[in-house]
Amino acid sequence: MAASLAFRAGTIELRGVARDRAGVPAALAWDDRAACFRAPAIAYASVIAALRGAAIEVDDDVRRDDELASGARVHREPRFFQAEAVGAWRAAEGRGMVVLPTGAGKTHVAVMAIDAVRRSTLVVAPTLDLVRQWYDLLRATFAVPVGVVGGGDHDVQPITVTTYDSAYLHMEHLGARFGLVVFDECHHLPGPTYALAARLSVAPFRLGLTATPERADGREAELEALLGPTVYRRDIGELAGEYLADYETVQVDVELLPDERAEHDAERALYLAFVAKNGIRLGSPRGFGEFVMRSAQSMEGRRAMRAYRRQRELAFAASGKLAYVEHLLDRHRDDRALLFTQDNATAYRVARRFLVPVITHQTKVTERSDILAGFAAGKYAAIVTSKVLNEGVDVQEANVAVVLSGSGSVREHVQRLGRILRKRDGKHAVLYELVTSRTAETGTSERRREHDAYR
Amino acid sequence: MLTADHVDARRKGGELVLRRLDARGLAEAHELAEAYLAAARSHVGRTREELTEAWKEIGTRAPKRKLAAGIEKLVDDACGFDADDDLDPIAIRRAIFLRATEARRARGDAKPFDRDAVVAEVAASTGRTAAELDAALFADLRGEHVLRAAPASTASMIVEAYELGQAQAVLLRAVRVTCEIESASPGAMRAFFNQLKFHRLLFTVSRKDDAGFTIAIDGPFSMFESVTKYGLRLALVLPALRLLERWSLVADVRWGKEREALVFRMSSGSARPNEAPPPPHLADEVRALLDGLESLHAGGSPWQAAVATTLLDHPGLGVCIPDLVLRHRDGADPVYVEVLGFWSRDAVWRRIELAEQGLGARIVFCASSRLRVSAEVLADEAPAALYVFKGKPSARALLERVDRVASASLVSAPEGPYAPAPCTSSSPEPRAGSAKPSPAST
Repeated sequence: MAASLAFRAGTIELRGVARDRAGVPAALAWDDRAACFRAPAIAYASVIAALRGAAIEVDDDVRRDDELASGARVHREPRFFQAEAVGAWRAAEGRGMVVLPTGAGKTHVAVMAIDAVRRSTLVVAPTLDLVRQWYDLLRATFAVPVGVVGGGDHDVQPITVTTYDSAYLHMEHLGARFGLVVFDECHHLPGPTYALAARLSVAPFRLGLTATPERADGREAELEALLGPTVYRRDIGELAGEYLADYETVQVDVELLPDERAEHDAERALYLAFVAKNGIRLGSPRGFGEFVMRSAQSMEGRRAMRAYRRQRELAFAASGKLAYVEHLLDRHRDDRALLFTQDNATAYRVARRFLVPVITHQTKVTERSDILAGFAAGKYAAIVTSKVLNEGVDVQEANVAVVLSGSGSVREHVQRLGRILRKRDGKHAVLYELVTSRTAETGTSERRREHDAYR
Repeated sequence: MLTADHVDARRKGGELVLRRLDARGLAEAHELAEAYLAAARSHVGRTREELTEAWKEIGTRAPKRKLAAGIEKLVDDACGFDADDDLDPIAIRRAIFLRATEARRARGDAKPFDRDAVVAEVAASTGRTAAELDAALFADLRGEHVLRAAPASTASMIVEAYELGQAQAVLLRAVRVTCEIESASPGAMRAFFNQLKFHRLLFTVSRKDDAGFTIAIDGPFSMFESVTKYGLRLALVLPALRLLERWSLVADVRWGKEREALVFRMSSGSARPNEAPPPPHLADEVRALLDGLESLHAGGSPWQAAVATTLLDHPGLGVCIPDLVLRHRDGADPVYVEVLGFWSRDAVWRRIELAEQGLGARIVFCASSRLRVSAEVLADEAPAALYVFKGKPSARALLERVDRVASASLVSAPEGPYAPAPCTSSSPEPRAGSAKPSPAST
């Protein structure tokens, strides 16, 4: 019986080769459960090379990807760094990561890569908003069918766009169908679940795109094994002005009203007293997790958790902040402003109070598209959102960002700034960060501003 | 289904141990389920947010927070919510937000933006009141959904689901499950293996002493990395495992944010070491066939029939679980019988393929003529036969096939230690194949 190599559920199976056959590549391990050799799909290219080296002939039935019927039908002159990035990626045999600041046109790098390779391509993006944006762009650029997997769709086409969640769920079926996989915002990839989206795929060509590969948990080192090395990198300072809009950042300190201050301080004292009583060190990496655990174990703890939430809520949505939002909405009523909040409740409160369109994960795709189109056309002067517009979504016209509240994440803050940096003639962008004085938010703000973009 | 957040467990050494509900806990769980169900029944026609607020009160007062959260989740899952479709919130939002943008741009610097005036203006243009529009502005949000139907479940059903749900929620974090099974019911065993196949899980089977099988279950990628990707499928298999008479389960789980490697155990619980297993569950047609064979044996037939407790597997091809075993009085190899009845034609073809590849045992498959298959698909000299029956299978007609199959040579098993090896769980049956672990797959 001739030896055969096939794709099975995110792995490749070698059958028809005796278990004790010499020269079987080390990546292939004997699988007792199915009486065959097996390797993770990501090892496909190295397995093929090793089988050839060992002169083991196989019927290779693994790959199901096709050559694209045609390349890009729209060609835009690339900026010098986009051309350099694609050149570096091709020189690395079509594997690796390109790091460019938000607004620099990473998407165009991917379009050029797809056009260069011309194989069936899967684009993986973190949110449905980005999936929709990729879908629109790829349909406008390529004459081949473009499909979507995720958000209720399951349409696999020569070029397909999906989310990280769907890629994790479906790659064991889709893993052989694409020659190129593009991981947009690829800093999401390391980790026990999403990484499987890369490991269960045989794609020999892989491209990662991000502005901020660094992760708080340091797992960015895994990206090289999943995608390939960083083949090209330009930071925000190298491109600001000429390729990104000029910008300034303005920090606005807001005081709590006297009754808010009294309630805030009382709740905070109650929460901190519980922390102290239980010997919890909030500064340690596990400190907050310990607080969550301990607070669930008693009525006193549950009260402390409620106090923690309330003092946070008062800081996030202080009435002084909302009054300042009113001022900013008036001041920038002829601009395009994005208002960012830490939580959905605040986003909806702002939307209801100021009658500004809101986009959260609960907003349906059709309404999101309508709001974004209205914003682009100038029918809306502002959009309020919690986190769903943090990444990648192309709101080219936006020139004002207002951060009402957020986490201490440097990446989140840089991404939010990036939303307003898309270059346009005469554009000057401004980011306002509203911080409630003498609350925990002061420290949060300091942590998230630890980036060159804010210095 | 419950999630890992709902699990009430403690670490004991390297083990994760569920806190079982004692009598007091059960009473509390019933009380909570009654309270959550009663709140749901009294909130039909009101919003999810209102119901959640009412439930929050119940949860805050409950001594066991996780128990309350789990019961709430199960009651919530059983509720029927729907958006109020009297007004179209998306259209209302669009009209109001567009008008608000225009109003803000059009006003002079001295005049403040008047939110209520904008809402009133749009309301007037749609023939509604401002209050109605304000109420409908985000009526499509999850929290604004209206409870249309309260659960039909009783408190007892919710508590039962809670106990199963705890174990399933742990298995969501499992990277591998090993089961030990002592079951005499071929139908239940078959259903269990069908579940493994349906969920595309892989397994290895080995004989455990003379009393059953050990089955290690995980997924294709598991041999390279301990992943929880197959956890949901492992959890979904649990109900089929619970239908077997005696079983135990050991799961390797990755628990908590740190994904700590722990072991989780559970079992049918009722069995004691010297207790005889419960009688097997047999399908009606199998029971009738067994009765017929016993009558023939009493009338002088050399073949004695019994319920089979054997599993025949062929790595990479599948598993065959016979219903009956027939032993000849002269001590020859047994002949197995699997009644496929009115199953699908595919099932018959899969059995034929297994037989052609070599199951390492003699076997007769019984299939209904309604499946439109022919007995001739298997060669006369094969150690397997297909008995196609009309109506009900006949014991006498079956024995004719058994006699023929008994005289056939066994198909050689593939070379090497991974040859198909029937695993025999009861001592009276001869142990075909080696005693080594016998790999199998779906």
